[in-house]
Amino acid sequence: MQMENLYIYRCEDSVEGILTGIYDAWASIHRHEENRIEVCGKEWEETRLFAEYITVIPDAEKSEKVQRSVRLRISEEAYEMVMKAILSQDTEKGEVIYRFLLYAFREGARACRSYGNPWVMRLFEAVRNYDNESHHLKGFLRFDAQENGVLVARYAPKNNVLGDLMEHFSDRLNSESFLIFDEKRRIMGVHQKDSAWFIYRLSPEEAKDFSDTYVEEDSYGVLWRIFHRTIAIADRENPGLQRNNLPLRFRPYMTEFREKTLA
Amino acid sequence: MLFQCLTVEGGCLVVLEEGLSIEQKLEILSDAAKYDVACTSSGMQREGKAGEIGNSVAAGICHSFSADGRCISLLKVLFTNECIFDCKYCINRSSNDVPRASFTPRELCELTIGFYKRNYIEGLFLSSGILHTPDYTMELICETLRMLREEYHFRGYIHCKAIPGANPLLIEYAGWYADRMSVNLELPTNEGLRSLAPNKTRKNILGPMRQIQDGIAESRQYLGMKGGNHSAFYFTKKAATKAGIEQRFYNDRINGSNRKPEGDKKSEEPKLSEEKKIPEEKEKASLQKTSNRLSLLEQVGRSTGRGFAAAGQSTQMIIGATPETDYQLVSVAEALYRKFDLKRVFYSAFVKVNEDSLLPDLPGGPPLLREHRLYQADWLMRYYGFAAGELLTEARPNFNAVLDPKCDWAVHHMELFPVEVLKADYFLLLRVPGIGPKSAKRIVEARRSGSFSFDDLKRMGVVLKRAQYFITCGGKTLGRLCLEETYVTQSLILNEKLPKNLQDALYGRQMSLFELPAFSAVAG
Repeated sequence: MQMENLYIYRCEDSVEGILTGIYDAWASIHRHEENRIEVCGKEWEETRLFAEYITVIPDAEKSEKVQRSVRLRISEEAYEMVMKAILSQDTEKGEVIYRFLLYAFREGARACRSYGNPWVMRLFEAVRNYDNESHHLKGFLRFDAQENGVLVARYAPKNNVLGDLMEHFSDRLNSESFLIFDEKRRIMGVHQKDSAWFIYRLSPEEAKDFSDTYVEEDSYGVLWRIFHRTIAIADRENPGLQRNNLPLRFRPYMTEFREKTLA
Repeated sequence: MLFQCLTVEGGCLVVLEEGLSIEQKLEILSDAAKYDVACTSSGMQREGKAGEIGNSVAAGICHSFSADGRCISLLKVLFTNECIFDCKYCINRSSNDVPRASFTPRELCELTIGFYKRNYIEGLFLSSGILHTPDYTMELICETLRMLREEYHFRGYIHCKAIPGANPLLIEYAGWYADRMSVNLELPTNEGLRSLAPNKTRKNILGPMRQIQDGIAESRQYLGMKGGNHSAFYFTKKAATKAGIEQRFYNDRINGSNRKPEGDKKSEEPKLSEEKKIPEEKEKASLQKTSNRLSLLEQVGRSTGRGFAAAGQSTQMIIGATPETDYQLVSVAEALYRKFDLKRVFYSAFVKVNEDSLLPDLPGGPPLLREHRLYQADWLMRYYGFAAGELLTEARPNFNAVLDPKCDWAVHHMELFPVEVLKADYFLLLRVPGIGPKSAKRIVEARRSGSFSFDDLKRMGVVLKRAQYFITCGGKTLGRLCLEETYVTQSLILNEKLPKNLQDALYGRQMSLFELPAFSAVAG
């Protein structure tokens, strides 16, 4: 085994956390090859011997600086890819973005399409995965109208696509009040009728309160299940194709797969 | 009588016409609409607007998938399944004894908005049987669309069928409210239509189709891109012509025949009546046309900026109810794309819902594999620049059961391969099985900044299990490259796994692979 110095920057899983980690690694006196960016999951990964761990303290200013230079010195496209990758489910996204940026600051705007470079490809894949799930959920997300008229959706996506969805639905349903709750990350997108949206992190107690008061369905659910059942052609039944197109993991949150009949 | 009242915002949803609840109506009228294939919501980009509801996304969005695996994007229903026509293949024909129902415009609006808010759907797909007269029905459809747009301020997607035989003014009216219009061709030949749809004629199908095309062209003149864009077929054709692919691929290479696909119209494609003018002339000509059209444009079109059926028009053909060959079908589709600038032609495997001596028996179920091949060929025409005459000929009029149309084309043109992916241009890349428009574009972009490997190709989306027999990458091959037709054909077939339901359709007859005529012809 080769003995070399390793400096591992451990970042919080957020825009600020990851970009600060990259900033700090960049600004350090170490060579780039000696640096690693690690994004924390719930717990730290196993600890390596002969490595120095640096805990990154998220810093808005540093994060801003990185964002600005990506936009100015690479391209808007690169900026968008990096921001999506940060929200993606790729567990090595910190490292991927770091390596991509190293390459892209050298190559300029065309780096985004240089699929022959392994880090560009990794970034591209993370972004594609994010985009695909986001696109799926624009269709698969379901709202239930509450008694007060507020529309409520729950889901648990692999990638953190809440911002995308809020952008999409606040344009589409601008005159409605709606909430989208990510049960996995305990974050909620809030849109009040005719005003700007924001994302809010719920405490465990708040999340429980929310689940307790939430009403799963109104009369339209029944109608939708009727439609969904009737529109299929029996002679062409094909559960395999249905599963390919609509993976099972989405279904627990979807009105048409609830086993309910008229009360 | 069922007296149910579903409370929604704004009061009572159910109108107890004919004693049917809204649930029963929905069940009857979606059941009756399900044989219509198109459920796409694409082709229209429209932002939301304060105080209104909805927007539209150009790529289209699938909201669910039904048990048959088909996309559900729109609330696809009939306005009524009453019908004065007696088309043999149709479940709603007048001679059938089935439960009948009709919505009211109000009910349909409430359903659409209720479903839309809950994100069940992208919009409405409204078709209909014919109640009393075509005009009467079309008027009800127009009223529904008007209410949706003007009273409910709905900005989501609307696909609307033009009822054959309806007054052109009503079709015009609907077009200013709908994003997409369609008239079903139903059967690809005149004879087919005469025997199975005696109340429909080619004229009152192609007439509205032409009218809609003119309307879109005109709306584009007034409103630019917002007024309606050309079809994918149009753009592919334009780019392909510019790249000179006709000279490169068509000449002498049409599966052994020497015909140019564009050439000799008289011998080739089944005629679609009335054609003649090229689009530009037509656009100009149509502008000077009827004065009522212009007044409608002023009234509805210009004020909303929505355009006339700006997401284009589509049509549908039933496959396997009449004895056409695949060659006839793709030729008709190509002619429709070229002459009517359609966005899509849909193919619907015939499902036998009526007992009728004029209808064929389908012991193996609906011809799903055939439908699948037609869609593949359709894609090749719309996005790859293939001509119908390259894929099939009169001498070889049907698709290969075991090879997809592109592989089938490629193994008959081994002289073009291998293609060097680091050098070949976009349209040549597109000719390689396993490379599609997305991966071809990525390849062209990626090689600007250096070379790449087979592994990279795979990650860019190239399907190597097909492409490997046709390409080199930086002079290298993946495994043995043998450009021998029989060897490549066999390898492709052995690698291929058809979707499960199509496998059943193909192998259900207990045939082994090597007994298939298409295969033994090549292998032998």
